Amino acid sequence: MSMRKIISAWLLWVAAVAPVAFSQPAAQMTLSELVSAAENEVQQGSFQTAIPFLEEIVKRAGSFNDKTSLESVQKVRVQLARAYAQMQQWAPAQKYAREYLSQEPCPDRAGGLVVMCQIAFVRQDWLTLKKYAQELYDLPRKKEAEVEQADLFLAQAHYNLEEYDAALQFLPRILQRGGEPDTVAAFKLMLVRCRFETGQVDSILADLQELSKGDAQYDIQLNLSLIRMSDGLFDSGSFRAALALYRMVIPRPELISWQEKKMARLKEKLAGLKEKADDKDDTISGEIEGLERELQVFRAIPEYDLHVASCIAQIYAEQGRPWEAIVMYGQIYQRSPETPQGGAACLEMVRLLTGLGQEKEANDLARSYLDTYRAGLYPRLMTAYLMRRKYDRADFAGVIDLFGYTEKWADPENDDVRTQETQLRYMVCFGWLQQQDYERAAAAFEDVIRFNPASPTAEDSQYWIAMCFLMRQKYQDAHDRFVRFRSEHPDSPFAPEALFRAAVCNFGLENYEKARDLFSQFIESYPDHSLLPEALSMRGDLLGGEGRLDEALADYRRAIDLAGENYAQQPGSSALDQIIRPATYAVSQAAATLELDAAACRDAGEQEIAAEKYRKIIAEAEHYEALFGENADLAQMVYLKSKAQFQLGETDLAVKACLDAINRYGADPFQKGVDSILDKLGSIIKIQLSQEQQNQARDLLLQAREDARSPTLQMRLDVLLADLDGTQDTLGNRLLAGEASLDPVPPPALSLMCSSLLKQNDFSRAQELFDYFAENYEDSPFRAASYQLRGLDLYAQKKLDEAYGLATDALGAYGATEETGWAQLMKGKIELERGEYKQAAETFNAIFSVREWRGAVSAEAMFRMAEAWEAQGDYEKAFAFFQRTYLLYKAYDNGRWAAEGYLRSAQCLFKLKRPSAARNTYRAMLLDEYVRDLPQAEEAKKVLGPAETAELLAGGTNAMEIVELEVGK
Amino acid sequence: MIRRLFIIALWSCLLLGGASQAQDPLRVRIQLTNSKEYLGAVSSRDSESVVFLPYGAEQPVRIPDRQIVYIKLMRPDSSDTKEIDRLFDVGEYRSVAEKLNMLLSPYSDYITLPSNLTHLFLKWLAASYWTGDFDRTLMLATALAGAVAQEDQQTLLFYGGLARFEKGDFQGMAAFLQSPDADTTYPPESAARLYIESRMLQHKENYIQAIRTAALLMVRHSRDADWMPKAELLCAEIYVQLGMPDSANAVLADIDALYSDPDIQKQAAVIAAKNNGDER
Repeated sequence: MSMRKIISAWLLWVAAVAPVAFSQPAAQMTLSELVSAAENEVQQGSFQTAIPFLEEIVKRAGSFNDKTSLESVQKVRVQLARAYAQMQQWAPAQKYAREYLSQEPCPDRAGGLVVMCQIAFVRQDWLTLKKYAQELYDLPRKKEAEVEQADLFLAQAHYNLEEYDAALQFLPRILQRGGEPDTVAAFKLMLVRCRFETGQVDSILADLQELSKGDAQYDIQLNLSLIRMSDGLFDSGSFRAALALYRMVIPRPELISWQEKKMARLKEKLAGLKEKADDKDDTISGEIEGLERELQVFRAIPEYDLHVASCIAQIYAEQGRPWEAIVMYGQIYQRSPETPQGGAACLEMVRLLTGLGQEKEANDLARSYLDTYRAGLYPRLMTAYLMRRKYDRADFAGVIDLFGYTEKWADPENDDVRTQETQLRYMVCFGWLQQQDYERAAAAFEDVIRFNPASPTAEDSQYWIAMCFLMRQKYQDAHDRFVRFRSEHPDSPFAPEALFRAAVCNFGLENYEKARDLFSQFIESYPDHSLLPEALSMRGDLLGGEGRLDEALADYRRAIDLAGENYAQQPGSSALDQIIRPATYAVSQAAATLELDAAACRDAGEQEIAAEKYRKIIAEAEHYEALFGENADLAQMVYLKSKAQFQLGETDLAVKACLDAINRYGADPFQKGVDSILDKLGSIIKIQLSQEQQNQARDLLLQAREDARSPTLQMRLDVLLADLDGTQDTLGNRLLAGEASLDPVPPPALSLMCSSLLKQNDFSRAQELFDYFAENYEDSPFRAASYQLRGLDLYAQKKLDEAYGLATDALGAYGATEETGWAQLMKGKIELERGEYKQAAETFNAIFSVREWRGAVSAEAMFRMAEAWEAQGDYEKAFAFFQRTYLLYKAYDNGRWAAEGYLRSAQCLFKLKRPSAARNTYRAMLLDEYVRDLPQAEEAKKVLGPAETAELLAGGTNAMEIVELEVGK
Repeated sequence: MIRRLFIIALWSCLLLGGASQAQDPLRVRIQLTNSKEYLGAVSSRDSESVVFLPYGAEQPVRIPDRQIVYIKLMRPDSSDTKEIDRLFDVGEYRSVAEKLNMLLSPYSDYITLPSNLTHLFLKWLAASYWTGDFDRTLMLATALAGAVAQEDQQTLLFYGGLARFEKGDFQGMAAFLQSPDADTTYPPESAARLYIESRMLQHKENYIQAIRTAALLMVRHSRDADWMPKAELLCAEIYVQLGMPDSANAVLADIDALYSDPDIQKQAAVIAAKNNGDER
């Protein structure tokens, strides 16, 4: 039974309780017989039988005007009204009630009003109901039952007219009186709704607990109201109340099934009643019809279970109950993984699991989703989420790897999906950028433009393509693109940057005047831009280059002061990259300029002026320190100041200043600035000081070492002293033997330990040291040796993919430095082993263009390059590179690569069917003093035989065979 | 016999209002194994028989329990039963337990016999469990074993097992779950089964699986007013054990707002104290 029916039945019952009187056949009876019969029937509750008697009374006595008759007829009218109402015959009920109410005497006005209220209620005419119910309510001297009826009717009227405040005046009273459970539940629901609508959220929860019991919970209207109310609460942020309500909603299939069973029961009951010819069957038929109608409407309502579950899960997540949210989302995903709700649920699960540190489960779930579902928004959102995670961890290869999923996706079905995929493709571009693969990055940006040319991202991509050219040092292309970008997109947020970069390109192209003009244009056009300090510094560099030192210094000082102003607005270590670093550059450049100037003065014999310049360096550094406080690059400042002090002849003061900083911070292994000071101090002492000054400095260091109490500080000073004495290997071995715990070991000492292990080809602690660095000193410049140790360790273990990744990371972290030649070499070697010969040749070839990699690294690179060609069957080229190896690099690595080069050259020549040339190569090898005593020379001796070998080694001959014919072949 | 004696003795101790004191004879109708029914009064009871005075007889007779099929105890007032049913239906277990304690005390000696009050004793059993009175739950489950019909034996197993489990018998429950009866008493995916599984995982310190199982209970049985607060309390407790005090507080705040039952609030307060202690 619906809530309305329940209440309706109750109202009718309540109205019928008021006593009436009735009895038998009418037309032939006397008036008094009629009255008696009617009273008899009414008393027995047989309203239907009473009606003919009552109507006959009205018919016969309706025109009487005496007081008694009027009273009697009026009484009969109100009885008729009640009887018809009881039989649910509303038209005659209304007729008699109206007649009664419009005439006098009207002693039972309340009775007439109750019938009018019933009629209005049944017709759902709420305004009329309100009118009659209010009149009933206002009547003086009512019976208790009439008071209750007035409350009931007014509550209904106000509720249905959405006058919730007014309804609330009556509902608590009605509920207090109690009643049948279903009726109470129906009124309780009304009360909850009224409280909800009037914002009394907190008080509804207790009321709802009762509603969740018994059959009342299966009421369709109740459930729909619950959803409406929950949604309202959810939208207004009342999550706790919303949660309570959502939890009460019965799942749609369960609700339908319950109602269908109920209908089956009613139909069974109806059949039973029909057999017994019971007149209650009309009521049950009506109930069945009503239920069918309600169910039909309900079935047409869209599925709500996923919505409810999703809201509950969101509430859990919002409230900080992640595990409950995960399980709830899990249910949604399990139930309909292919729907947007399923996709959203899966994404939320991945996010929550990640937040809880359940990385593996999150990743497996995300991957399984992406492997299965390939259309719509959520695969894109999931991929974007995973990409962002990879970004946060600087796993750029991972970002690129994720892009592989896009190949399996269907074309975007709408603009939202396309926009999302555009963002994702855009992210991948930055993955390539971070990998420093600028060519691929540019191609990826081009792809973004092709994919969604009208998007803002496509516009930005054009800027980034220009940036890729700049990073590849293709200054002209980059410049042209930046200029075009500015002219095509003058309002783009990147337009100022484009001008700045165009200036940088001119700098790269050595168009210094043009570069200076463009920097000036930038400085004037964008006085508030974050790149302004950099622009000033670069213009300073250019002015300095032109000899306009004062102007240069003014630019540097302005850059420093600007950074200082920015820092004052955004203090803290977060400003390090954006604000302080450009200022550090500016002060360093200012110092370098002043140093040059001072040197020139000194050369001109103007010692006083030179000294003034050095003092200005110290002042600039101190000014910088004052601006940036504890976040200043103190090590660099100590370095700049001490260098100036050394030049001023204040060796003692300089070393003491350094030692002061070292003593102050040196006991904390995490104070990386101290290590830089030590490193720079070492360089200054070794390179810039006279022998006497060196000795003086060394004595001060030894004294400091003796005074040092902290093991960390001791180790730091030991590293510096070992550097000055050239005894790093000894110290490295000592540290390896002595340090059980790595905790007090500062990064330079750890680096020394790695170097010692490298020299011994001992990889036993490679992983430990690498991991320790990664965990504790991730961005330390001293970490490089641990990369090499671990890289070679992995390579030795044939874990080629890991080794390759590590080498790539090392190059990414340090660029092309002396310390990373091994990485480039290892990458080439692994490519060679993978059969990627062309790529390997490119990788090796890149080594020769890097000055820092000249020497042993280049020697091996040349040799490996030859191997790459040999592996491809190109023996001519292989021979050429093997030959270059022994011709150019015999002095490196104790002649190892030259010796190998000779042997492999000869082998190539044999393969080229040039045996004489091959033998000549062996001869040349034995004549080459760099290699002839190496073990590799044994092969040459064997081929040439003992006699010729002896003769060659004795220097008796240098004869070579004639090889032109072979070449001709 | 010793077991019955024990039950009756212990039983008396558990009742409020001194159930063991001498009582007036109770009017009863007794149905015996010979299919005969007698009206009369029972005057006393020992561990295995009742002393019965049939109407009209001059001397009482002692009837062994094994001969009694059913005993109808004539209660002076039956008006409370409807209210108890209502309170039971709306989950007001504390009131139910209190009322049943008062109502059933005079009849406690006859708990082991099938009677017209057996269904009320069963309600008391359930109410005892839900109010956390596990000793009484166990006692009732044991005492009712011979009185209830076959279809109610599951109820005894259900609450008896849970009460033992709540008192810390994890091993016993683990063994039971391996038995063929387990799925009948605690069907898989039922609220009780998920609760038990979650608590067992919690006991094994597998907190993540424990909280997931408790959360699953809440998802699958969100309208179960009996199990929901227990599941929420369990979640709060596990969050504390997982070292997630903010989440524990979030659950406790929900419990505070959503469940007015003082027993639940009391348990929540214990967890809150532990959580705040841990936070400190």
